[in-house]
Amino acid sequence: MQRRALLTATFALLLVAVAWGGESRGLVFVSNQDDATVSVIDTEKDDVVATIPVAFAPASITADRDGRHLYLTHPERGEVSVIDVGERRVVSSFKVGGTPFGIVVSHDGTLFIADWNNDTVTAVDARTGKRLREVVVGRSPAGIITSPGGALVIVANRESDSISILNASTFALVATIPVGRAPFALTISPDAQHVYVANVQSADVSVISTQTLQPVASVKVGPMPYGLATSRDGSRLLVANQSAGTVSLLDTRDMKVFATHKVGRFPEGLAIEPQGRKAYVANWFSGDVSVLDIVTGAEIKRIKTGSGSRALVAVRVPASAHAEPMP
Amino acid sequence: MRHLRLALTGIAFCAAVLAAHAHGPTPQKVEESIEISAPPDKVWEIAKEFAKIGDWHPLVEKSEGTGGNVAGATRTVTLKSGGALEDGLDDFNEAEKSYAYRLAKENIEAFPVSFYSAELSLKPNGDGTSAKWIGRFYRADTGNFPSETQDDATAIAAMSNFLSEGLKGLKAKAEGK
Repeated sequence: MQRRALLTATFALLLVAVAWGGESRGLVFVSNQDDATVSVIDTEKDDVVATIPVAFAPASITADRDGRHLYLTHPERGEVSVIDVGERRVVSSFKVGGTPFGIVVSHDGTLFIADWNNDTVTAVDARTGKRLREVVVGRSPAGIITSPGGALVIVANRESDSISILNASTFALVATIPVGRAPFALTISPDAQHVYVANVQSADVSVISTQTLQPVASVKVGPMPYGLATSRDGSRLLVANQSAGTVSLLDTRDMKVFATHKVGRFPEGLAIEPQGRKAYVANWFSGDVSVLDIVTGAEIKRIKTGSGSRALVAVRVPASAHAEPMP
Repeated sequence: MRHLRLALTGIAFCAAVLAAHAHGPTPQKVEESIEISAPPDKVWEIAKEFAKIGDWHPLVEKSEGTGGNVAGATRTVTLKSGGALEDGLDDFNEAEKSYAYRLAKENIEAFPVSFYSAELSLKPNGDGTSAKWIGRFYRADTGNFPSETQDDATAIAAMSNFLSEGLKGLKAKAEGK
């Protein structure tokens, strides 16, 4: 008992020391679709530090600008769950109807939700759950992102082989741009110059210029690319090749694949931790997450998460309760 | 020659468009395995021929394909129960004795799954072989209110049956029974 008290005191002191040092740490939240949970990985230790129960079959997950809240879609329930990062639990949920899949929060706190079966993007007030607008995009919209400055919302239309670009403030459709076959995941370079789109069926990545709104390149990657992320400095692009169970790294200057490494079975979502040194890929079939060195792409560790690990999001959490945004 | 190539490109494009049916957002998984009393090299010689699944799979009437055992190869698998499935080879790993493929054209009347990808792999186990076949797939009706013949349970049963019966057939062929 005494020993435990001592341990607790030591731990509390450590926490205070970390807070005084102004250190922040990274957390990666992973949605486990079959288990109906969200795993919380501390990126310092690369261990699961909490598992949050959520409603049936969670799919995509995103964080708001200040990193305080996470939003999680439940396509089969037409529902969105809200997780409080500090409390590590679901604090509210709201029905949006349809089949909400991809989700992202704009800088002003509007949720943009891709509806897989309705071929729309729905804008919803993140605080109230109130529906603001519905925009028709291409067929089966999947992955959805905002531009780094927050002006644009970009969605991959899986069955139309295109991406749609929306104005985040006016909800106007700015452009529809053709890409490869069955685009699913997408990401944007930190300098906002290029959108990268992973095309599942044609096994390539389309590069779109945000200046001209035109495709500028198409690069072959591994089979069934289902996840994408750029490093925080924008120098490399990571692609999860689901059929091969690998992650490929490309140099964004020449867009050449310079490394490909084995990960778990059927990898999908990719995220970069706040320090920018490690990448995390959710391995859907094996129910775990591979931690990769961002420089070499090699797997450092594999962390057991839950059945059907699919999507993940990285959040920076200072030692105090206050949290900061992760783009 | 050039016209032929253009025509072929056109056909491939049409096929691609036809194959582009929407599937839902919640994938399902199955994993089947079997122990075979034959060395991996021998089992691999049988299992690796992507277009010749009809030689050992008891539920397959016949199979044919193009492109050999290289990523991009295709096969048409005619089922004994009727109908045919078209698969595309995605990844072929001779060293690890595994390959991954996916459904290129669905046929939910013949097989109640709107999309699948799967991997067959062999590992040595003593003098014999452990064969594993895993699949990721979506039910036939991917709306939120599927009928009883197009729901997750139906898809899981069909997929599980196809993989497990296939492994039994592979075992029988490799063991010379």
